[in-house]
Amino acid sequence: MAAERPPKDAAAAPPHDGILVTDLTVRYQGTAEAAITGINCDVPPGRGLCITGNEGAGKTTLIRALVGLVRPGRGAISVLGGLPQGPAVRQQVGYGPERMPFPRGMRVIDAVRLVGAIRGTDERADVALERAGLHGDDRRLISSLELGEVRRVSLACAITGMPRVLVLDDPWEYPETVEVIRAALADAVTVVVGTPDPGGFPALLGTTLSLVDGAPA
Amino acid sequence: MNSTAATLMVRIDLRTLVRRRWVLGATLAGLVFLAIVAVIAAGQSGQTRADTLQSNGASLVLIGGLVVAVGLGGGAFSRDASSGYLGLLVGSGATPSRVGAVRLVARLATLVGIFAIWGVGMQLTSLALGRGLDGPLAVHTLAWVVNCALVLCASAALASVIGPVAAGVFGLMVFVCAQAVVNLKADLDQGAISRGSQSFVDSVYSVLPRAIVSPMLADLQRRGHAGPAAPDININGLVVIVPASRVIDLLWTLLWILIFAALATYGVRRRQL
Repeated sequence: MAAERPPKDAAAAPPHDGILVTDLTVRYQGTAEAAITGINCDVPPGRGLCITGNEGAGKTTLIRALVGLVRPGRGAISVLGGLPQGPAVRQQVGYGPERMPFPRGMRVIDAVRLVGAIRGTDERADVALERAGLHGDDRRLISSLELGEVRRVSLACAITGMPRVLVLDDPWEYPETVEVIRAALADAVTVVVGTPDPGGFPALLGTTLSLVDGAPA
Repeated sequence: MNSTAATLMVRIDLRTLVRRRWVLGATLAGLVFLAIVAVIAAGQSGQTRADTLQSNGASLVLIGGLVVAVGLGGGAFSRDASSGYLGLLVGSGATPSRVGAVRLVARLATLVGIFAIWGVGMQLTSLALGRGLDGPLAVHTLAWVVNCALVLCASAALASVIGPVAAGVFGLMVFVCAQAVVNLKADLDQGAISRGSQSFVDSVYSVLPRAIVSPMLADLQRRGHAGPAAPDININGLVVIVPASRVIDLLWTLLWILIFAALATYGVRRRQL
């Protein structure tokens, strides 16, 4: 359904400078079946949340709800004190999707420049690319990259323009990723990471939410 | 998302499209086809030489143009939505409708670019054959940019809600309907079908989009040389010539292109990204 509209049956989100999720249920599109249900979390600025769970546990659905790409069926989400669907909120949220979220014929630097331009930042793409462990003037095509390098591009897109909230879906645990998250937390950025392979993320982020079949374990 | 970001998105989308193998392949295949036509036409003379270039040029923009338009329109959203790319753009602050509009603009620009390359190729072929620049063929190429833009936008409108193949088929059906209403109107006006059908024909002609017919195509058809681009219409022994479109037909079809474009952007707002 329309991602820009506030949910009809969701309660008004209370003000919050980080992320506040209250009794969240998200249904599969066009069905009554819940993809995730009973989710509550409170992640203030400068704190992190690691969402873990097996394939199909609902990590990506929750992350997509946090960035306003899917609408809550019940409950409320507040991001930076507003609804995550609002373009003004979205511009302050750095989102790094999972897998291979770029057209194969796109150049690495173009992906980061584009996200930066949408977010309205003046920061040059090379800054984010280098922080993510890539060359600052990386003009390779996405189709020529290994999956691990694509994860770095996704990270670079997420951090370009110094967002106030960082949401990463299945980032690989590179030293650069850990450093980026550590620096973000130190700068009072709210950080959410979804991963099936937690590794050192729970210790880095401080709080863990484990999902099993769409509900907190 | 400001206009700078929108412009950058169009440019990057355009560059990404141009790198696709099938787009490059279709463009090159059109040029190879023109080279073959040039060789064939070089062995002919006079009006036959002109007709060979014009009828084969018309075939190129018909078949090649439809293939490109269906590919660009049908594939406008599906793959990049399921990969998460459109979600990345929207999650970064672009509105879904703006993303849809930008992608449509980039695809229309690609279509125009391919037609420009083919159009220049046709004019160069005409020059090489010693005929000078071919104005009627240039006008026909422009007419087919409009027809293919209609197919592209119709495909994209459905591609925002269903899969690329079904969307492409829908785009083709829209063109078939647009050509059919124009043919039906010509049949009626030239007495090839009963006046009893007038209310039906006038109704569909008033409502549906109309395929744009160039003066060149009408002339070739009149002389029986149009080839696949305009096969003879023979009803009970009466040969019907589809006349060239008027300005009002062009405006009407442009309006339909806008309607389909608006539906495509609206569809992107409603689909899960």
